[in-house]
Amino acid sequence: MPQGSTICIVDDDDDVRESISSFFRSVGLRVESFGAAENFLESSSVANVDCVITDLHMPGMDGLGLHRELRRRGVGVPVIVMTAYSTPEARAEAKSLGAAAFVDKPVDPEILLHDVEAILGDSSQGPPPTFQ
Amino acid sequence: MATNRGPKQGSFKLISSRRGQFALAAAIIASALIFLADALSPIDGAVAVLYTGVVLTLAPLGRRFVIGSGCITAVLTTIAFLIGHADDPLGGAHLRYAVSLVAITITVLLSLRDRSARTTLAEQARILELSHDTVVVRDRSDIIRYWNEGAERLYGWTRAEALGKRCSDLLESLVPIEEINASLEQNGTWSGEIVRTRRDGTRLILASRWLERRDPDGRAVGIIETSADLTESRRALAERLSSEQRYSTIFNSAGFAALECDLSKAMRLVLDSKGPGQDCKSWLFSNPQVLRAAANEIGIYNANSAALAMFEADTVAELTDGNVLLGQLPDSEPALAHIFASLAAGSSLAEIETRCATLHGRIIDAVLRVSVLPDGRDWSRVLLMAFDVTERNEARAKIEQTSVELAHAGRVALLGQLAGSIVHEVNQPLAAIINYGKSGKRWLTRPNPDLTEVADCLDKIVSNGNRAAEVVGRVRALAKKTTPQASSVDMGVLVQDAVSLLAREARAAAATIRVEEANIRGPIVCDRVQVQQVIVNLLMNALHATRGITDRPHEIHVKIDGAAENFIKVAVEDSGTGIEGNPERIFEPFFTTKSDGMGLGLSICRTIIEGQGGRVSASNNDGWGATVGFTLPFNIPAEARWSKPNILI
Repeated sequence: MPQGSTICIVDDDDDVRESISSFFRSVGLRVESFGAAENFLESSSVANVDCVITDLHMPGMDGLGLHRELRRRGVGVPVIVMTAYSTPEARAEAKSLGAAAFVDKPVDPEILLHDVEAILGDSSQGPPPTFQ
Repeated sequence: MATNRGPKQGSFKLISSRRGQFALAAAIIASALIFLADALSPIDGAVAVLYTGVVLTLAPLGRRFVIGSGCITAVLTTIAFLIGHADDPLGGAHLRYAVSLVAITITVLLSLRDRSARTTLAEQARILELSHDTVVVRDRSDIIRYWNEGAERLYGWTRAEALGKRCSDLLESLVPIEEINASLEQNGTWSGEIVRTRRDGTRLILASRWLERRDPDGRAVGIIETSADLTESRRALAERLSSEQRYSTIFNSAGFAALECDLSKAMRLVLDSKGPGQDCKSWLFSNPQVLRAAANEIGIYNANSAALAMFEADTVAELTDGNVLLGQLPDSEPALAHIFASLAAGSSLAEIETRCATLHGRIIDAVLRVSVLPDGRDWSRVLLMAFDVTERNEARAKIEQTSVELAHAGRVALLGQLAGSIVHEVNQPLAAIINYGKSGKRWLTRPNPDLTEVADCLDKIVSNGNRAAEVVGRVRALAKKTTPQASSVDMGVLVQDAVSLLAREARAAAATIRVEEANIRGPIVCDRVQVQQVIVNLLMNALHATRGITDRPHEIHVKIDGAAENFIKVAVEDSGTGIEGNPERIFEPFFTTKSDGMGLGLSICRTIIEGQGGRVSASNNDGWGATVGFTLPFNIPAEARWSKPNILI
């Protein structure tokens, strides 16, 4: 178990965000949650985050925009993209940006945890997370 | 004759007084001469008899002059007798004296009687003058001998012009001469109608009464006739007859049922049983037995063919006996009470819609209109008109039903467009519930269970469950197919509900929806579901209009304004593309700007709003975009609601 790792969750839906946050905290992860991509980018967490889970559709900057911005800033943190309405185009772009995973909402937190664990445990090696 | 004196009373008096002075002087001189002759002359004759001439001379001056002159001449006679014959033995002188006194006395008495007869005659002549009717006296040759003022007025000829003329020439009379002669011969009188011509040529219809004049020997010497003008009353009568005929023609040929009723007994019964000061209508409601008794007292004495057809009767008598119209159905009782109360309050007109039964028991909806005819007393003549509105009401009910179905179809279509949003709105809380459930279990199964976190998870599960249930509830309300139900609605809450239902649509359109309330004075009465449908529709259209706009923010502004006295106004303002052409056309059926749209949404909205007494409106904004909105009355009478549905298509 990668105890002590920090995960950031970005989703504009309070209940979805907080429920995932609660689940991850219950297994001992450190979680920081943000209601908008902009808030996350402005925070200090960007510098020392181990994994980012973001919603695709959000008012203002969306999940892919956030991903691009992180890459632009040279932040290579693994990004998991969630969406209730996945389109092939969005999926392809996420892949091209190097997203660690692309999951459909509603997402089972157990599976999400499994992906996160895989990403965190594989910070240098291990099986790459698959696109669902 | 007094009757021949001129019409001018003033000059008559003047002449009379001059003549009187002359007569008086003559009488005094004559008396003196007679006295001298009687007393001093040696004539052996009843000279004093000449005093009768003095009495007669003064007779026209009046009763007092007659008596006075009689007394004075008697005294003079006595003095003359005493001077000449006082010592005479009883003989011829005494006899002459007695004869003279008797002659004077008789003359006085006759003069008095003559005077009284003259007075009576003069009065009668005055009466003839005063009469409004014409009085004309003719002699045997039809020559006019007397002509009163009434005749002057009516025929236009003055007395001077008429006297001496032949009556039939002057007045061009049309008279049934044979009938008149026969009647005069038999009875001495005739009465009937004659036609004559006035001086100006107008024909006159006269009611005339002729009386034969006879001399003391009983020979006919002419005619006295009196006539009155019938022309005006004839014309009025003819007019009345023709007016009655017109009324009767209208009554009989009217396309609607008309009945003539006598409500006098019924009204008397109502008014007699009701205490003074009690409200008639409510009193009748609480005393239905009086209402029924009064209904039984309604008399129908005439009905036109449309009325017979409407109530399926063959004769008027059937209507009266059957008492079909009133008091048979419980439905008609309030209508009756309304009519009685209106009439009792002094109204001459009452109208109400009710349900009644025909003689064959068929139920019909009818509008009854009761008007009290002016020629009836105490509601004895009342015209009752009945319009059969059964078909109209059925058609109206059908339209209402169609409107309800169409509105429902519109809502279902709306929900179809919203399906994605709805699924999302339900799925989000469901996902949260699952997450919190799993995380709660994890918190619980940790080596050191964190009960605070568990409690928090459970709270969130409950709140998310509620959130999902709310969404489902809103959708269900919109999907329901119910007849319109009026309820008290807070417009602000209704709009917010619609906005939250469309939250995701708004997000997808990258639009913000702002709601602004002003001057809200309380809830309005309307059908919640249908009005929400309208609001959702307007918001959807506004969101649609902003799609594709890149040079400005996608903004929708909902303004709820209660400033107007009687209605609340809801306007949805967008920053979209605006409406091409006449903005009001968007409410026409099948008008659409969407390739996949039917164009019924706004047309249904219009039907919904107008069905609740409101109005829809659409206009382009000054800058960009359009404003589409509606008004709804704060409170409209229950009977007006839904009663005037507009035909949708």
